[in-house]
Amino acid sequence: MSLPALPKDFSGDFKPVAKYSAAIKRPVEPVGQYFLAHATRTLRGHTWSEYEK
Amino acid sequence: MVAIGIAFGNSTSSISVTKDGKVDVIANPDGDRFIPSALSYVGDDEYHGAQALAQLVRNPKSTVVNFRDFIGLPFAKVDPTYSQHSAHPVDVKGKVGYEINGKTVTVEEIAERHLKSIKLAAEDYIGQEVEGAVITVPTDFTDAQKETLTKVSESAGLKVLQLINEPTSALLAHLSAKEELLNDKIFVVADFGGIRSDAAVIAVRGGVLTVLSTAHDYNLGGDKLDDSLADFFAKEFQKKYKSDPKKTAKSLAKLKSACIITKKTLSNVQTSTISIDSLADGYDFHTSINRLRFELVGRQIFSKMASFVESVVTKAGLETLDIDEVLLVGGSSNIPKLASNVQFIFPESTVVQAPSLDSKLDNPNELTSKGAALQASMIESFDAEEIAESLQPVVVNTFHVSKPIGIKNAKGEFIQIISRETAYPIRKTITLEASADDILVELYEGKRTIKETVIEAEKYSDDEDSEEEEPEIVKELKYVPGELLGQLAVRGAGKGNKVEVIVNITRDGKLQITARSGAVVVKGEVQSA
Ligand SMILES: Nc1ncnc2c1ncn2[C@@H]1O[C@H](COP(=O)(O)OP(=O)(O)OP(=O)(O)O)[C@@H](O)[C@H]1O
Ligand SMILES: [Mg+2]
Repeated sequence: MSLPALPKDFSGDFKPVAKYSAAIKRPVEPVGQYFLAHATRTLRGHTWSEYEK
Repeated sequence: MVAIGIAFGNSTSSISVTKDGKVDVIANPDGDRFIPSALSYVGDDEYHGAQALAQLVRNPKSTVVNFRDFIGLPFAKVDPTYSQHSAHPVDVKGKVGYEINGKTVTVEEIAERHLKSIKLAAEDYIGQEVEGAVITVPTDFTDAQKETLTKVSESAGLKVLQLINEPTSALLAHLSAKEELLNDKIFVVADFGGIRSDAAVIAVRGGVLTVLSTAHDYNLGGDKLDDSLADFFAKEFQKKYKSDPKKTAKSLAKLKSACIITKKTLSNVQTSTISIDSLADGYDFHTSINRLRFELVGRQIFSKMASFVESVVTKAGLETLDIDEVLLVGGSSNIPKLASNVQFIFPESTVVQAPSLDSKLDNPNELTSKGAALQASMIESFDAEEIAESLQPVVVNTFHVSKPIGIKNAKGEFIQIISRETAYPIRKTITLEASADDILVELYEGKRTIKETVIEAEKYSDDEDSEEEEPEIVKELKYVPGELLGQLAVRGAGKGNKVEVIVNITRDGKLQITARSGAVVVKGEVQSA
């Protein structure tokens, strides 16, 4: 899979165009190891890389 | 702490334990893995499980069944329908109790005795004291019911480490066994039990589960099938002997208990015999039934079950096409006809998980307690504060993206990076190839479309009906680039080189996109509406 070529007239590095759709607040199910990682991330502000090791 | 997983149903309860990373449903000393949630008091004796259930024929008034849903509910709120042929619920100071052999017993005491037997059965098997448990509850259990169950379990000597939702537990067990927790999918978990049916649509995103909708039917389950079989056999008996086996409580109880065995047998084999000595007026009853006949007898119930599954999908605002898999759970999900009816309402792209459709699957009634045991083994080393901390609203109530987010590839297709319903915070990475030295990364929201392909029916010249065959329309769910969110230029990536695209959404909803190719790194940020 590949990424398209940059148009010649594109200036700058990044152009924000629109906001993404509003998120929905729902409870996640507090089970399993990935929830636990989510909880620890939220509570202790751990970074992702600590969990990706 | 030694902790077990318990599925506590109105009809049956089961116990799971983990050992060396393996999880198993264990048998109680009677040899039952699906232990009837029943207690019976005869003289000075207390019977539990299958032994208690057997007392329904002789001692129905001192036998308590189908009580799980009454725990923690005010008397005014309970529906005694399923206590008709056993001890009746009575009002005990506004709560539910039973009059047994002249003594009043509360439903909490019954539940405590039940859990005590469960604890002893587990200890008998493990050979060690069991101190804690994760217990599953239906998704509609009220806070008061949960509090009461926790209290009751603790009086039975089982500390509740956590109460978890039944469908979530079943799905956790299923996905853990298949090592598929990290595959983003949308599931329907449909649980067909004895007296009720429950279903939930659950999104699995990065191993985190979120319930999108739930449905409950308190009048649908295996018991209804038992009743229709009993009616069917009663007619046959009546015709033969001019005697009604439903006229006395005792003959009805005998007939029903035989029907349950017959029904279960028909899940495994094509025909089953039924034989009841002295069913009514001194006549014995011996007959047989095949699976097809049973499917006809229960036809209405089976189609209700299928529509029930459809209803939970609609409640989530989805179509059957959006569902990746249906996981059938509960004792009644052993029935092949139920599985095939459910399969029928879903498109071919939806996989229905049931033992009759995939022989590698275990009994669908094992999953709920297995998930609880997995959770128990994960948290048994934590102290209560740590567990409570992880259950705080700030942790559990999380934002979820409402539309998928991805990029457009060189062919103009939408490549999804973040699935809809993924909980914040999120970080996902994909790697693509640069089609030119300088490339463009366009961040899009995916737009849901349905692609229809018409497959012409094959015509056989010698088949008279071939003219009437309608062409089949196969629908396929496809996401295409929708709203453009931002554009990122990666200059000097180098044609043919790998480009890593990282999309990150922080806890407070800031979306960051990073594209990296070798030493070239470009970043951008998009806000939430
Ligand atoms: N092999 C089988 N084939 C058909 N039906 C079965 C089979 N095994 C169990 N059942 C039925 O499953 C039902 C019990 O299911 P389950 O144990 O999941 O119920 P539960 O969750 O305890 O009860 P409830 O839904 O009433 O709260 C009973 O009606 C029983 O007859
Ligand atoms: Mg159940």
